[in-house]
This record gives sequence, C-alpha cells and structure tokens, in this order.
Amino acid sequence: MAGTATEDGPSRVGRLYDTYGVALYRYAVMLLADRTAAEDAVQQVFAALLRPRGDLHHEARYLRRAVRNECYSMLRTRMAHPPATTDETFLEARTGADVAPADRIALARALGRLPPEQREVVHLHAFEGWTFQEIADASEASINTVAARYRYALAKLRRELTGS
Amino acid sequence: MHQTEIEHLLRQVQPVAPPSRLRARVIGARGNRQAWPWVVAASVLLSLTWALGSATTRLAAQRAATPDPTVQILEDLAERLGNDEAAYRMATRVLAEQQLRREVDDE
Repeated sequence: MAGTATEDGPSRVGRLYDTYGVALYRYAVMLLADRTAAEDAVQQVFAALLRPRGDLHHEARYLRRAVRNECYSMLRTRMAHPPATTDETFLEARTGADVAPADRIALARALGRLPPEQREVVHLHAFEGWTFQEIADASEASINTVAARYRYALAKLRRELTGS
Repeated sequence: MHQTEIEHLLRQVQPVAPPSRLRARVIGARGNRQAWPWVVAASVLLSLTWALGSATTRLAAQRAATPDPTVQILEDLAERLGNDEAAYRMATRVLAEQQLRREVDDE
C-alpha cells in the first residue's frame, strides 16, 4: 500500500506507525532481545521516513527490511560493546494463554542466548506464522538454512529450559 | 521436554508490544533532532556577525574621534609656511624627508 501524494512527513509516519509499528517493534524486540534497543531501532527507521521522499511502494516489506538492517547493525555494534545486563522481560503472555511468569522469563532468557538469526526464524515462524519459504525469501537465505536455524533454535531452547 | 512442547510454549507467548511513548517519540523526535544543530549554528553565526559589526563600528568611531598627529603637524607646518598650496607641498615634502631620515637612522 502506498501513501497519498499529499501526505506530509509527520502524517505519513503517523499512519505508517499505526499500521505497522506494533509488528515492527515486536520483530525488533525478538531480533535484539532488548526492549530499549528495539525502541531505538524502530525510531531510527521511522525518523528516516520523515525526510522528503517519494511514495513508498511495498511499505510493509520496506519497513521490515529497514528494521532488520537497523537491528543487525545494532547487533554488530553490540558485539564490540556487549551490554552489562540482559533483558529477560521482552515476552508477554498471549491473550487467554496460561503460562507462568517464571516460564515466560526462562523462555525469554533462553531466546536471548540464541544467535539473532535463529531468534528471527523463531519469531517469523512461531509467532507470525510465516512459512520457511517466506522467511527464506525475506532473509535471502536458502529454505534449508532457514529450516536448520529453526531446528537448532528449538534444540537449544530445549537444552536451556530442561538443563539437558 | 520435546520439540512440540517447546512450540506449544512459544505459542503461549509473544514479544511485548511497544510502549505508548514510542509513537510520540517516533513522530516528534526527528524534528527536534534534525533542527537543533541548525538552530545552534545559526545562533552562533548571528552572534559572531553582530559582534564583528559592533567591533568594526566602535573602531571606526574611535579613529574618527582621534585626530591623526601627522595631519596635525602637517597643517601646523603648512600654516607657518604661508598656508597656501605651495606651503602644503613644502610641508608634505619636509615631513616625508623627516620620515625617510628616521627610517634610515633606525636601520
């Protein structure tokens, strides 16, 4: 969906944020395993949209890719300067779900220890319901790589959660 | 714990939603962030321009208020020599020779 030709920067950003902001933030939270960093990433992406530019075609795809790039850029910086603390509160229970807070925190801690590429696949497949092929297309990886990342991620989560 | 149980647990949760302040931050922050360096730069430039203009005006006023001693000497000398055009020429030549002599002596 593309914006209207008469939209100014703030109006367009408001509309785009209202449409895609929540999903993009959740995506950034999973990539970064850090709520504060996710806020920074999303803000950076939307701030770039306020500068004069032509209409965005394929807004959803553009925004997701921009957030992805921003997150991986932040992760590269973080490799050089690791944060002193980790965020273990970036998961919430879905509506109607019966999950103990301790389990939620343990799962967040385990997810935080996964490589970001594996967290990304878990997010898109388990949380957003994408197929492996769709994830492969979006991340420019082969479907076998994507499936392997998901498999490794679940195996590591099982080890982290059961201690075996 | 099997893979299906892990997947079941994953289906129970989701990443947290953004805080409500993020929308305001996304829409409002950019304007300030982009504008403030320009505002500061413009203020500094304006202050510098004003200070320079003010100093120049003050210097010009000081110069205008203080008579040049050389001109005063020239006029005195020309008056004593007759106070006409030839006297001015003669006084100018005398002062120029004195100036030349001082420069030679200094060297």
